[in-house]
Amino acid sequence: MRKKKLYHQFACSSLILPEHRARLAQHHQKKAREACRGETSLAAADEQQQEQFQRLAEQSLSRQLPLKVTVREGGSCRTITGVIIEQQSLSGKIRLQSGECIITVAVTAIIYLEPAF
Amino acid sequence: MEKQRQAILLADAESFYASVEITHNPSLRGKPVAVCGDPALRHGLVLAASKEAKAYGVKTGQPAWECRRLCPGVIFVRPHMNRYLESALEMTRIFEQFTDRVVPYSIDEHFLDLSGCERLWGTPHEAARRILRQVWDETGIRCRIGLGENPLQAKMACDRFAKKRVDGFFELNSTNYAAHVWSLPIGNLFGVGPRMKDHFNRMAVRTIGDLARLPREIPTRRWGVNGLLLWLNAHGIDYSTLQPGTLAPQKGVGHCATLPRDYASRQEIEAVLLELTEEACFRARTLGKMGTTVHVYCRGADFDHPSGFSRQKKLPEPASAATEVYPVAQQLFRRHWDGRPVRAVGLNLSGLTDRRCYQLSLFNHREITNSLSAAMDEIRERFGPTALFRAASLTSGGQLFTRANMIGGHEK
Repeated sequence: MRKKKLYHQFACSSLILPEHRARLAQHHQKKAREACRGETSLAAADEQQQEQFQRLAEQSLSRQLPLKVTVREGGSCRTITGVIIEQQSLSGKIRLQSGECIITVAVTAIIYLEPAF
Repeated sequence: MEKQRQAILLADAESFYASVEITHNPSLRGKPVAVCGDPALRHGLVLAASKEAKAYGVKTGQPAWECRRLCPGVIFVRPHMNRYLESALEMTRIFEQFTDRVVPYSIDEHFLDLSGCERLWGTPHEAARRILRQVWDETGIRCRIGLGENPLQAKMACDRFAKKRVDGFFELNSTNYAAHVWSLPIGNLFGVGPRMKDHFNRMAVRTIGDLARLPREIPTRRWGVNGLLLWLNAHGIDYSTLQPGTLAPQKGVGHCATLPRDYASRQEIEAVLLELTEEACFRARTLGKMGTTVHVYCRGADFDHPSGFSRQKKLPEPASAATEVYPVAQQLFRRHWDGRPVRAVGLNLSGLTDRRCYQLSLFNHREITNSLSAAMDEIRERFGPTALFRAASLTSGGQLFTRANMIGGHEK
């Protein structure tokens, strides 16, 4: 468990005031809302970000890396935390194991992918 | 095919608090300025000094009187934490125009991952110059940038070299790291504090190069993963990953208060302890968490004969209500306090668990406590932290009203 420090030495030593943390969280939420309103989707992400998302998705599928997947639903966003268990290339969907549930998500509806810690 | 090199930048704002004060009052530009709390409230330490004040030998952390002695013409400015938070966020927004991989490291430091952005911004060196220029133009704050192939190299480049250069930029990479860094004293290595420096000196390790030349087993055997980490740092190797948009999950919530005078009575200290418990519990509830362990800290007032304690105790069950946490904190305090005057008190709630999952009990009224806490939180969020408070806050020891005007222990 302490080996985590080798991979997160800056996360471990980061010094952020609670008030700063709260404002950063608000800032990120605002950005996410703007992304939703602007109907942003994976297709709008730049090439480099797409590559990063692809890498995360592959790691999740092959090595059960838990992901936080932000999906556009109508005018709002929904975040699902889970592991990708299947990629349906023909229908353009992925299946996520989130707790006990299995959720199917259209790849075009995905806005953002990040590792879930 | 050659593997693409990472381009990690660490941008650090110069004398951040002082620079923000100067942008709000341009008449201070070019003058020796020190941001300093109120000495009457024992906050009379220099939080930041402008470069003109630093030229006289003024340093962060010095007491106000010493600062005045070194630089008689110094202009003291009270801190305004809200301004600093706003400026920090403004800088974050500027950095996000260059890359979406921006990770704040502290109020005045940001990591930026510019790997693969050459087509957009040119070489990392060119990008850094643009960033420095834009931050200056839009905020009036001077930044320094360290560039590296990983966050460690960027941090070392910024702290040890860029800050001393006129152009405010320096690059370290795996090729030049040893040449530049190994001759520096061991205390200059990221992660080595004063005590670790003493340990290394006793092992005849005086420079970063001395540590790098040791077999890795020696520091690893002595300090475990921490020793290995320092050995890797000495070689410029860092496995850290930057996760933009996510802040490391909090492991605990806590508060510490430096008292305006030495408190010698139990009632006075316990009044502050209760207020700190309320604050920590409020923050835990805001995060949707409960704590499993409460940690109480007390520092004695006599510097010549250090006293105080730091003790923790597991709660009978996870809790986020002050009514459940405070009795344990009070018990810890009463058991370990030696009766001598106290200068600072702290309380921390750790082992955070999800607040929605808890063991039902036949004897405690968790639902009622939760509803009460939720109602109190709503009132405080709407009308401020002083809208609803404990009667103890009105006693001579209470610090609630002073603390309500502070962020991070300094004036809002």
